[in-house]
Amino acid sequence: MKKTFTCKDVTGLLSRYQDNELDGEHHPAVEVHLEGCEACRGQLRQLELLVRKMKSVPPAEPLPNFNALVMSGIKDRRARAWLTRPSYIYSLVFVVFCLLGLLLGPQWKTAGANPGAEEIAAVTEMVENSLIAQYSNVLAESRQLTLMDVQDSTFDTLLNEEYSQ
Amino acid sequence: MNETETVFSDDDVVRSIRKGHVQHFNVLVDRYKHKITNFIHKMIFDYDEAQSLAQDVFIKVYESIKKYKAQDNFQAFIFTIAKNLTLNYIKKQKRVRLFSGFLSDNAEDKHFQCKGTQETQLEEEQKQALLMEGLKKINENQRIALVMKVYLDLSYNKIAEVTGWSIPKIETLISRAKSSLRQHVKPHLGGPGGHVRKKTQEKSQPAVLKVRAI
Repeated sequence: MKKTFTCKDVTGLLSRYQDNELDGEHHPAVEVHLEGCEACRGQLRQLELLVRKMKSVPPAEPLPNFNALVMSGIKDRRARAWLTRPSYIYSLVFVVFCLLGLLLGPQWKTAGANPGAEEIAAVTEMVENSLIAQYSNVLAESRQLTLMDVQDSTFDTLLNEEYSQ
Repeated sequence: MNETETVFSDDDVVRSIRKGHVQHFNVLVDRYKHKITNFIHKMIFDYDEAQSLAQDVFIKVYESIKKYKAQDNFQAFIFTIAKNLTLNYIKKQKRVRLFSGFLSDNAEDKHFQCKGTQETQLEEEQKQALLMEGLKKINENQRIALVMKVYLDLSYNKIAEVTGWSIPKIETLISRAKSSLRQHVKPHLGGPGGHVRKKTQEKSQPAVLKVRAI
């Protein structure tokens, strides 16, 4: 390490010296130089004055109800965090679905019963009508066949074929 | 509450909070609210926002208290959160200003408005306003380092712990910050001045206050 420091050396170390952050190796060397150099002492005084002026600026004080505001903020955050928790959301959805099911379930049940009976009645009627129609057709056909039977002797052959199937 | 404050360390209070004694968080708030509010204010120069941000810091500290390890330094833990929230705010403000087309930094801070009725008080307040204006002009990293050193009275090692920067970087930042600030307020600083600087003082802008170097 250099035994004597020049102004150039000391200028670079003045800030640390002023902050009391100079290590044991450089500190004495800087002090020795300062004892003999008015220019560097002047620079040091400027730095000290600057810091003193900075510290003289009134500090920004917290509001009187600062603690209450912080605790209130913490409570709000905790409440919001609980509301957005996934398990809470899933539970809520499940409960909503159950409620919907309970409220609307009976309506679905009753609505389902009547249409079934009505449908059966309608279908029954339809079937009856179609059976009647078919029977009517059959009757008509059979009458026609009877007439045809007289007219065409080959018809017996056809009938025989049909009944034998 | 006063007994708790004098007897228990930060780690003891944190342990108590983790056990469910949420009200003990007030002890930590009381210990650090002044420094945190002042630090944030000296970074953003807006008193009202500083109050709001300071509260956010403590809320964030509470939410992150489970992440804090007992062997860590609680002071570094809380100042790290304060630094991060402050920097986020500054970046957000820059984006807002850029978007709105205004790049000025003339946010009027009521805290520093000159109210003094006497001449000396007014002069003093003007100097302080000038100082704060100078502080506003230096870049964020230099400002963080300088504010932590001057207003929070943290050592370079503690600043390194909070910021993650190396000691040489912190030394450089603080040295440059002081140099920039000194250049800004030089004519109005007052008191004994360096002989080296005398000539440059005469060349600088017309001084509001005449300073005589001794």
